[in-house]
Amino acid sequence: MAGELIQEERKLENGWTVWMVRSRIDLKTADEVYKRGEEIIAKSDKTALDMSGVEYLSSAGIRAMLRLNKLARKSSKEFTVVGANGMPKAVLEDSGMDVLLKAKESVDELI
Amino acid sequence: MNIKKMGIQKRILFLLLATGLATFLVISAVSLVSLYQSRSDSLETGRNMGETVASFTEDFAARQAKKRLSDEAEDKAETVEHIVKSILQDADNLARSMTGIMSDKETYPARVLTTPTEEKIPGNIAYVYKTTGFAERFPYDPLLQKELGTAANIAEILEFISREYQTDTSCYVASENGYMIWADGLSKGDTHADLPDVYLKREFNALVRPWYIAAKEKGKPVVTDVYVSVEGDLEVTCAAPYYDGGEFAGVAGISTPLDSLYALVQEKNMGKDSINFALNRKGCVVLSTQKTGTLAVSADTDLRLSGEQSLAMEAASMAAGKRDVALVTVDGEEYYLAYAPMPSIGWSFGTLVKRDAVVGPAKEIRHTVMSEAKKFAAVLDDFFFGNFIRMAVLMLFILAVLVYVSRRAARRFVEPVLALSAGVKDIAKGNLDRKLDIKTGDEIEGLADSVNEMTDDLKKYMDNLATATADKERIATELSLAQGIQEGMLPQIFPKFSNNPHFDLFASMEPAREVGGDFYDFYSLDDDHLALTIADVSGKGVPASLFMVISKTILKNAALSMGQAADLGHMMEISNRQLCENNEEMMFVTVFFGVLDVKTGEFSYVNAGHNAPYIGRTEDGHTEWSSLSDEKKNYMVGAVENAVYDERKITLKPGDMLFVYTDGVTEAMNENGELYTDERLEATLGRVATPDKNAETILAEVRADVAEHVGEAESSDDVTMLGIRYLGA
Repeated sequence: MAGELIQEERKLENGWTVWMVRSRIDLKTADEVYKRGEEIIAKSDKTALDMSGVEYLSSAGIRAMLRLNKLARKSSKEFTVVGANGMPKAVLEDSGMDVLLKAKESVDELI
Repeated sequence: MNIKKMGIQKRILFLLLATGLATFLVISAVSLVSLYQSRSDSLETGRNMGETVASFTEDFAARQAKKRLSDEAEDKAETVEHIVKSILQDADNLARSMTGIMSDKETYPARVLTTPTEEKIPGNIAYVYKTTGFAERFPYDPLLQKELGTAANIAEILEFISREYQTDTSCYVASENGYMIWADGLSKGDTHADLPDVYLKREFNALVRPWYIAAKEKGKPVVTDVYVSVEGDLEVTCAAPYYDGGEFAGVAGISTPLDSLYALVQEKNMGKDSINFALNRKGCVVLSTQKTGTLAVSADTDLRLSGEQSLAMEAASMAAGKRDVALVTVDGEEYYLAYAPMPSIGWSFGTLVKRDAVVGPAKEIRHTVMSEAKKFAAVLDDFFFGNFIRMAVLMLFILAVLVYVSRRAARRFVEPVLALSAGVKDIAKGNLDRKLDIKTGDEIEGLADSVNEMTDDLKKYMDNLATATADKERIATELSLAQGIQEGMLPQIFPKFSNNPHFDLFASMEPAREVGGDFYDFYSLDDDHLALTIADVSGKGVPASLFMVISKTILKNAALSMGQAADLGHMMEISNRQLCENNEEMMFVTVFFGVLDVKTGEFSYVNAGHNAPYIGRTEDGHTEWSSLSDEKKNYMVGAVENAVYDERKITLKPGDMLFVYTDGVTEAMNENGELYTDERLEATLGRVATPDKNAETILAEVRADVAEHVGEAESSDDVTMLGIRYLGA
């Protein structure tokens, strides 16, 4: 369910907008995650996707992140992922996306 | 009766009738009970009213009768007293006249009156009676002569008074010296009066008569008690003393037989329907309309001693001068006795009326009133009975109307429902052209309209569904064709390499959808080099399959274009740049690309973001599996335009096996959301990928194990595997 998949975003004092996704980012949910990220990027200069609640990340999920990253770059905005762990972290590292997306260990690293 | 099994019409009819009947019965019961109660109340009230009126009327009539009787007694007492007082007054006047005459002897001349000698003498004429003693002395005594001669002057007065009483009344003066002058009154029609025998025989002595003695003793006018006259009749006398020179000289009196006195009383309209009597102080009846019986005149019967207790008690009250009305028994019959005193003469007058005569009219009134009350009750009863009948008829009529209206209402209500039901059944059979035409203006019409709308929508939906189905079938057909094309693009030429002495190769790809994003490829670059590719395009479906075709083509072109000494990393960089061009959708592909030198067993490869393959090293008939992971990861292809890719090299010994796969294998998910995992894949390979099995068998067993893990869960990703065992130079 969308309400459980994507949490309400919160804005940090330093301008970062952090939004959390839970459960899975796969073929079924990737589009929804992308659309939500698209909305948040449109109104925020610095956007961080908190993946600490993501248990599974498929290639469709990686593509969604790549698209959001490209969208941010086009608008001269920043996009990163934080808190990935477990399988998603491994996927990001295996695909080299952790470097490309400037992945951070936790939200604290944004502050 | 099971209402649940009834049809709707019967149910409505039942409910309408039940409700109507319940209401009707309640109203009827209340009305009838009220009517019956009203009848009972009215009859009771009528009876009570009649009883009350009757009792009041009876009591009133009785009281009126008693009052009338009392008034009559008072009136008669006054009348009798007046008569007796008149006589007494006359007697007193006579005595006063005599006193006046005797006191003035010189003035009055001597007169001579005759002494009658016949039994019949003319009435209203004064006579003189001389006792024997007086007669003997009279010739010789001038004083007596003088006295008698003077006294004779009373003659005119006596005669005058005697004419006033047209009865057997006798008026007289009796001298103490032994003579008496009198004049007899006559009854109507009589011309002579009877001279008592004692007068003729000169045996009468006035001085011993009761009236003489009483007047002399009292010294004032008196009314004597009843006594027996010398003629043997009962009579009373009003007597008064007269005087000569201040000395008692004699008594003047007027004697009246009771019959005569009563005649006088009767003349004063004493009434004939009642018994009238007068009682003196001694309780003796002195006047009476009764000739016989208890209330007959009696000189010596004291009624106070009567055996009739009630009469004796009231006689005592009468004698005591009281007045009252009381119920007494006389000679065995009940009477109302009203009495009033006559104080001046010491008598009491009583009048008796039979009890029935007093109470009778009252009873008659009561009877009349009660009779009228009964008639009223009967009329009232008839009225209520009539109303009861009318109400019963009315209720039966209402009941009939209720049943009729209920049936009509139920039918009227149900008809559109039945029409609706029939229409819906017809529609349910598939007649979507059927239109319900129900115009009831209520919810049924609304329901019918809704059914019509639903039918229209259903028809449109079915039309759309037919179109959509056709479209879907077309797309499915196209996808099936696309799948065939995609499969055709994958090398199915295992027979081409099946007998190759250097390697045993097998690959498979099962798309999650009609067309997938995974692909594998293998082809000979030259006689000694075999190129292997396995790739996973991000996403699934047609876009992924299109990107797969592009990727496969670019990769193969790049591989075939490169020289023998070309670096695979460089080849991948070229391919990456080509795929990054105009890749707005950020499609990318993970690629494992390798080249096997079949002569030497050297295996060069570049892993562009793909799952690390497993390599099985075989020694002494046993294969040890491990991941062929690299420390430095390469980007997947198509995502990063200027990505740099590193080539790796390993050497395969005869019997070694390489197992390459996409994440559809390790991330295959069961119904509990559990992944197949790298660990399970490695374990499965260790178990099934033994040196004695060819690549096809090993892939089949791995695929079977993955399928067992997935179970009934829906396949979420393409499952692609490639296995190659190096057999040696």
